[in-house]
Amino acid sequence: MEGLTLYSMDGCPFCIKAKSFLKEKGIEFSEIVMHPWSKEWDEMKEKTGSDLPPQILINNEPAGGYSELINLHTTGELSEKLGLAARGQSAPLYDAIIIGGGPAGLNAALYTSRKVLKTLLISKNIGGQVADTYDIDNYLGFSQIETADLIKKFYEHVEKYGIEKLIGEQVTALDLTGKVKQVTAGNGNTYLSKTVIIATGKRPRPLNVPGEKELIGRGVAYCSTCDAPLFFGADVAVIGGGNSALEAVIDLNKIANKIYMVSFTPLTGDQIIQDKVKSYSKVKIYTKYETIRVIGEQTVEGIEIKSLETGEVSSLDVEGVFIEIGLLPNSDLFIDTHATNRHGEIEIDYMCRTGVAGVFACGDVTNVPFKQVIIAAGEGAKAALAAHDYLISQR
Amino acid sequence: MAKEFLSQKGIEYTAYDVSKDRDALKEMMGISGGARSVPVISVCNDVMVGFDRNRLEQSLNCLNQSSEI
Repeated sequence: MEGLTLYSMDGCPFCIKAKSFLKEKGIEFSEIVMHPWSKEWDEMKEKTGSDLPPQILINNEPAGGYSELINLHTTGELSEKLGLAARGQSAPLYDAIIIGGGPAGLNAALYTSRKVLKTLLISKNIGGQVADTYDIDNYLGFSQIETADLIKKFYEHVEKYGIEKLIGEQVTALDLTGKVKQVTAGNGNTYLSKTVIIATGKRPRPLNVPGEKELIGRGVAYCSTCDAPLFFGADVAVIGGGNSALEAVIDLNKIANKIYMVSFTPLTGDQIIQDKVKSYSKVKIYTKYETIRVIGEQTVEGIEIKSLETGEVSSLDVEGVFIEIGLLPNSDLFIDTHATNRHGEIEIDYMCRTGVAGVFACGDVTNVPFKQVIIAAGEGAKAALAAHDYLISQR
Repeated sequence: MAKEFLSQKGIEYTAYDVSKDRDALKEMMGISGGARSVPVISVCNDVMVGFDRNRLEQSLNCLNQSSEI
């Protein structure tokens, strides 16, 4: 029997869905309506090996039920098998879509490509947070390397195996629950894949005070390594009291005229870095002060700070504010469908599995402790190998 | 990334390193309404703060229109 045959039964909801789907797509089919335990029922069981309607035969071969029908359509296999003209521009089906181009995403890409998985890497940039720091001293094999060089080496290594990539784009929407995952990018295109590896990393935590958002890039900055050189000879403030805030002060000490360090808590960074910062003559430290406002029309003109002890509000005239108060995971697109911990990090198991079949996560966006380049890279490899295992199990 | 994109498109451009060139930094802040972030890209009369592939691609159309020059 050529073409598509549908075994259905009255009152079976997925039979109705399958029929309306086929009608909607303009696909012809012959329907065999059954009653329980009838001759047709036995025929369905014999031909498909299943007694759960609806069951579909394509050219007399069993093709599963409703969800399999949808998957076959999504992948374009349905049109192919039925000898129909390919629907529209049928999108390619990837084995793995990796979201994020930091160490975790790049290493995942290296491993998927070496496993000859058809891979698409989608990322707004290459390097991720690594690009926000100047050098790395603790990546095995490199006692000291500039991050730009390390990222270049990572990228060249991945490029060697040739993967498809979409750089400069962000993912805007996802549907990860089905067998075929759909990932929509900022360019409006939707990409299909059997697995998705989330490697979206973290981003700087904002202060959430008036004036901050409006003046981003106009004096408000979150990356001292990137932006400090643009504040030559200026008076600036650094908000935060941890290591990254202290390191921002060190970056700025060579460049800025005067540096105010404003911390909500006593300084919490490593003592050795604290001592270094305290020795700088151009640095004035305010601890137990809250930053309540960024002042400025077109560009930053100052900040308002409030003493936690006396409640007194004062303002500091600065052209730049570096906000270094920690990081937030880029998990916003996944929190509705994935389990996250109280920090918003995606919870994964030892195989980088997220709990959603075919969806893996790795690197700083996950609950794996110790955010380090080498750990993120290792996790990326694990996620790729776990995705590979999953694909084998689905064959 | 912006540089790579422009090179791929075969577009000639002048790059200023505003971390070293103070006059260029001033000019950049002037044309962009006070931006202190990079890249700032100026095409024809359009000034863009940050690299937005789609927007840059649109702006580059003005180069084609005046390609006779």
